This record gives sequence, C-alpha cells and structure tokens, in this order.
Amino acid sequence: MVTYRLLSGMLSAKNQAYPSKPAWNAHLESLFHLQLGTGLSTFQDRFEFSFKMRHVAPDMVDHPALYDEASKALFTALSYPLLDEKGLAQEKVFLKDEWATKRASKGFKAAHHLTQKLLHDHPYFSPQVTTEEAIDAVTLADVQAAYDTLIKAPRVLIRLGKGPFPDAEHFLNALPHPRASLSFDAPLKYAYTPTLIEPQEDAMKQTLMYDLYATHLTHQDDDYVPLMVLNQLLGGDSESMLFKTIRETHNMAYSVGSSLLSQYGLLLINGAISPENQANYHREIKTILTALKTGDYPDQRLALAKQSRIETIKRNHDAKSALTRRAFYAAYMDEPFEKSALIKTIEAVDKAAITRVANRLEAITSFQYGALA
Amino acid sequence: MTEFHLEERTALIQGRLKLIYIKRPGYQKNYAMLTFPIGGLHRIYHDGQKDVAFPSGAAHFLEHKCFEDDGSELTQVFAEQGANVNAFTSPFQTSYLFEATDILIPNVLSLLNLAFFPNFTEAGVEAEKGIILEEWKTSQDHPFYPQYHTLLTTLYQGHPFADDILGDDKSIQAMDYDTLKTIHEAFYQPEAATLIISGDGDFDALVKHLNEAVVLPEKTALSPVPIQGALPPKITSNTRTVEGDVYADYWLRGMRMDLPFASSRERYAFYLALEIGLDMLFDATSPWVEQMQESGVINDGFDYDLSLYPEVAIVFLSSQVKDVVKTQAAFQTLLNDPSGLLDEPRFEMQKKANIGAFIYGLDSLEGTVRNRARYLSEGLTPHDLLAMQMAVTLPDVVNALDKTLQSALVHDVLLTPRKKT
Repeated sequence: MVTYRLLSGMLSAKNQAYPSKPAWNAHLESLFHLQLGTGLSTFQDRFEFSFKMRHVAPDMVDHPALYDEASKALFTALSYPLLDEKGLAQEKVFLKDEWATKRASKGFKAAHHLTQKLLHDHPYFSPQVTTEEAIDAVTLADVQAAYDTLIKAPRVLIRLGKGPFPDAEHFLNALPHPRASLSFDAPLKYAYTPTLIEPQEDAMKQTLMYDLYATHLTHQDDDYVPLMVLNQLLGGDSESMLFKTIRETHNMAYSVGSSLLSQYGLLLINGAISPENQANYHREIKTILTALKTGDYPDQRLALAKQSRIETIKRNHDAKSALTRRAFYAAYMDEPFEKSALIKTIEAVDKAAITRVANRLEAITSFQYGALA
Repeated sequence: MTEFHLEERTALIQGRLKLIYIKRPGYQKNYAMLTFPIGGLHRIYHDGQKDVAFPSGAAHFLEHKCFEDDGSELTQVFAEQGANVNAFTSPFQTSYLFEATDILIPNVLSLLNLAFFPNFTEAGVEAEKGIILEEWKTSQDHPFYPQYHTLLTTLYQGHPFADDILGDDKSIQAMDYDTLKTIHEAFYQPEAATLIISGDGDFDALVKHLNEAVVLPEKTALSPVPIQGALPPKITSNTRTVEGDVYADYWLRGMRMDLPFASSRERYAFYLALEIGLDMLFDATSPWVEQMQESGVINDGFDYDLSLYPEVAIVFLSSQVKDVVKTQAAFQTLLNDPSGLLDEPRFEMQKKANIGAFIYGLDSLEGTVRNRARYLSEGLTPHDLLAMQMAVTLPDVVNALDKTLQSALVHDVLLTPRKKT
C-alpha cells in the first residue's frame, strides 16, 4: 500500500512534460482550473487506483479545444510520469507528515487501533497508514515496478457529463493493453470470532464508542437489501431508532448512528458520549436490537426507513460522486446502474425480513476510546 | 438574469418574505434554504427602549430548539414528506434547509412553520443542554482546537469572534427558555429572512401557492442590533506556543485587517483582489511554495484562507513545520517583497482558474444555494462577484496585498506535542 501511496503522490505532482509542480499546476489552472488527481483505495483484496479528472464544459467558456486539451493532460499524467529520486524523497516527507497529522485525530487513532486488532487477518484488510521505517524502505525501483503493474492493470473509464467524450476509444487504445480483464471473485464471508479489545484511554472529554456486529451477508445475498433497510432503521439518519433514543430521548449524544462496512460483512454502531453514560448507552442499544429481532416497533418506523432510503437513492441522481461510484459498481460487479429495481426491492422489505437479518447479527466486539468510565 | 445557464427569479411572499428561485433544468431534487441574519456573533437586540445583551451560543441553541414541537421532533414531519432537513449556524447567519425530490411545497411550508413558529418548551430547552454539551465536547476534543482558539482569543479579545458559535459549557448550561423566545422574536422576522429554492420547478405556481398558504408572524417591537465588539488595538506578543495531542509542530498565523471601506462593493472588490493575490503567492502554481516545501520550511499541507465580512477580516496561514523561526523568517522575506510572483501571465492564469472554480460551484444545488445565501446582507450575487473578479487588475492585486501586509495585526500560534510528565 505504501508504495502505491507514494506513486499516487508522484503521479499527481508532476510529469515528464511538466517537470515541476508549479509548471504542471499552472498548466491545469490555465485550462479553467482543470482538476486532475489520483486516489487509492481497496476493493476486496485489490487496490483500486483512480485518476479523476474534472473540467468545465467547453461551451461554458467558449473554448472548444478543452476536450482535447483535458484528455491530453490526463494522458500525460498517466503515460509520462516523472519517477525520480528527488520526487520520491519529497513524497516520503509528505507521507510521513500526513501520517503525523492523521494520527493526531482521536477518531482516526481509535479506528486505527480497532481495525488493527479486529481485521489484521482479514484478506481484504490493508492498513491505511504505516510506519516511518516502512516508508523509508521503499525504493525508486519499487515505485517503478508499481507503476508498471498499474499501467497494465485491468481498467475502466467512466465519464459523466454532457455530450460524447470525443476520443475515448483513441485514449484507451493509446494506453498499454491490460494484462487481464476486470473481474472479481464472489465476496468473501469471513468467519469472525468474538474479540475482546481493551479500552484505550486518551485525554478527552468524551468516549468514542464502537460496537461491531457480523452480518453474515454480502451484497450478493438476497437479504442484503433488508440489511440496508435495517441499518437505515437502526442508525441511518435522524429518524433512526438510535438517534431518537440515544440523542433525543436520553440526550446522551450529539452524534450517534450505524453504518454497513459491506466489504467486511460488518455493521458498526458508533457514537461519542460522556464516559458516565457508557452503561446506559449500551443498555439502550441492547433494547433497540431486541426490538429489531422481535419486530416490537411501530410499522410506521419501517415505512419511514424505507422511504428515507429510497429518497436518498433518488437524490443521488443529482450527485456526481454517487453516480460515478454507482458506475464503478456496475463495471466491477455487474450491478445494474439503473436503480428502479433496487427501489422496488426496498419497497418490498417487510418486518419479517428485518427480523430475519437482525437475528443473524452477531456481536463481535465493543471498543471504547477516550475518556473511560 | 440568465448567465452560465442559470435563471434566477425573485418574489416577495405576502409583501414580506423574499423568495429567490434558481431554476436548474434536469435536476431531480429541490433544495431550499431559509436564512436569518443572526449568527454566533450577534449578541444584542433592542427591546423597543434599550439594547439588551444575550449570551454566546444563543443563536446556535435557538437553531436546535426550532426543531422541537412541544416535546417532539419536527424532523419526522419532513421525513414523512420525503425530505431530509437540517440547519446550521455560522458567525453571521442561521440557515434551515431541506432537500427533497417529489414533494416541494408542503416541505417549504413545514420549513417556514418550523422557523417562524417554533413550539419549544422549558423542558425541551433543559433536555437540549445535554445534546449541545456533547457537541461542544466533540469540538473540544479536536486536537487543533487549542491552537485556533488561542489565535482568535488573542486577535479578537473582547469581540464576539473570539467565542465559539456553540458558546461554552457555562453559557450552554445557563441558557433559558425566555432568552431564546425573545431572541427569536427579535431576529426571526420575515422582512429580514430570505428563502432560496433551487430545482426544476414552476416558479409562478410556487409563488402563487406560497402567497395563498403561508402564515407569517405579526410584526414585533423587538429588533436586531448589528454585531458589536471592540477590537484590541494591539497585542502583547507576536507568537504563542500551546501544547496539544499532536505528533509534530503546527504553525498557524492570523492576519487581522481593520481596513475602512466606503461601501460593501468596495470591500468586496478589495477582497477579490486580495484573494487573487494570495492565490498567486501561495497556491500550487507558486514556485516559492515549491521551494519552501523542498527545503522543509513548510509542508505539503500548507494552506491559506481569507475571511472578509463587514465585521471581520482575517487571513489565515497554516502548515506543519520543523523550525517555526525559519518559517516565520521565510514568510517575512516573501511578504516584504512579493513582487517576483505577481506578474501578468500568472495573473491571467489565475483569472481563468477562477472562472473554472465558479462554474464547478454551479454543479450542485447545495453549492448554488449556499453561495447565493453567503452575501445576502451585502446585496451581492455570485454573478456580481464573478463580474467584479473579472474586473480586477494586477495593480488592484498589488495594492490589496500592500495594504494588507502593511496594516494587518499579525499573530502566530505554534501547536507542539504535549510534553510528557
């Protein structure tokens, strides 16, 4: 991971055509603030390396050549990297500094500790950060090898905007032919065992609470949509049972909610509370989960959760980042880009389905970070 | 007005509440925001006879309590109508907003009702203290809080800008029902509010419906008083060091500007020239920044920011540093003579970049509406700002930088790792 992080920084900083940061950025700014950046994340057990480019529509600025100039800029960044010792040394300093800043964040420290303890053996787990020694150990040959792998890796081009991308085919053909086609194995169902993670004390006014449950479901399972609805009902927004109970009824938290870590088959409940409320907080969570397992909650709550989930999907039609992500999933996993079928499936979720997925939830760990009771 | 494919229309609902509608063909959702001119910096209202002060954090507390309806939460009403509702308090404004796809008018009516006729209770105010105290604790636990707080309390000692928008634990605990009710009456007047809606709807039908259905509050004898607060004329030290839970040294500079302007237009012309000047000195195209990063004087996270309002004008510079004395010296050298970075080709490039940034801002309804709300009190639209930006000349930029660098009250705060005892 650290090698690709360094490569990512070097690819966006400069290239052979524009061998300094100011020159490269001046070129991009002269193209009406063309935004070109790299990103690195993981999908299953693979790295996902993305080049993201955003440019204004040429007709908005009466500059018809902008399509060509933008695709040339992207091609330059991809195909003519400047991978030299000076650039690598600079990126190593930046990465160490970034790590120092990130780990000052209490939430980051807590999440880092939790994931290291819980997920270190998980085949999909790749730590976000590393040690200074690991950064120092990366050589220019490592970075060059990473680039060679990257440039021949399976790829997908996604474009969002008005009109056709004039030379998409030419652009893709000009890049080295991928060594393999884009395909993924069926998502893993990892066998978690309940794990005790000792609370970590830090000089804070609040305690950061993390409760994790194995869902025993992947996004390919029929019950994944009911699980999405359960998450919405449990802690998806300000209408959720956690928000209503922990925040509004007991005034114990400003922020509390739940989320699905679908890659890992986990459901996370997290909140930030004062240490004296820890026992009450856990008692209320237990009560809510029992209600979900037995169906002992008003039908209206489920209807509201389904409606909120559907509205979020509809609103995402106007959100460029959500649409791009949706397109990636369509390319990766053959999921339909069109969401009307998903909306229909959500509409069909009933209490029995929620009860079924709730009863599959298995408590894996509970972790507290910060001020301890 | 039709520029950059943006059509804006306005109306005065029942002759009192200003509505701005920004048409965005092709968008599925609607975004609405109702803004009142009360923010964290407002501390006084007029009761018809005299000025009355109220505590810090009151505007934010009131924003929370507008969501109460006699003990229950109004968020559910919006959720049932397919909307996602929220609110925020800035130093100068409080805004209530929602986004929804299919149902617009019932949600607009609910939003107006929530803000103009809040139905909170004494018990609700007491209960809310727990929630806001947790929000305050979250902000206190941020590792960079001591640095930012120290900078503002030094440069703005005695001025409301030095206080947190949330207030502090004492002011939150002391908040009461009567104070919030009175502040609401003074500041939440339809004539002072602005409703901005963006989406692909029918403006005429919307105006007709709102004129028929909206209920607005009676006029009151109470009135808002503009932000007040004396600024310390000078400060005793140029650099302070604070300790925190960090793993490196972080430098934060504040440059407070107390420049007089004849009009808001003149102020914004200055602001835009200064903004371009700061970009030319400090953005990723600057050879000076690259040189300083390569020599370790600043790092990749180096950042700069400019806030300019009628009451507050400040430039922030920040970076992780290895030797703050070297960093200060390097900035002093540059700021004594920045002319090497202020040439015509870089200036023209910056203008093109600003056009691009403006167009990107139009991509989301949220961005469009929030930008429109930002300069309401100044009577300026984003298009006015873009036109003014395009009218800026290089001599304007040089002049704005000169004035700032010569007159600003500068203070540095170094955040260092806490010493182990």
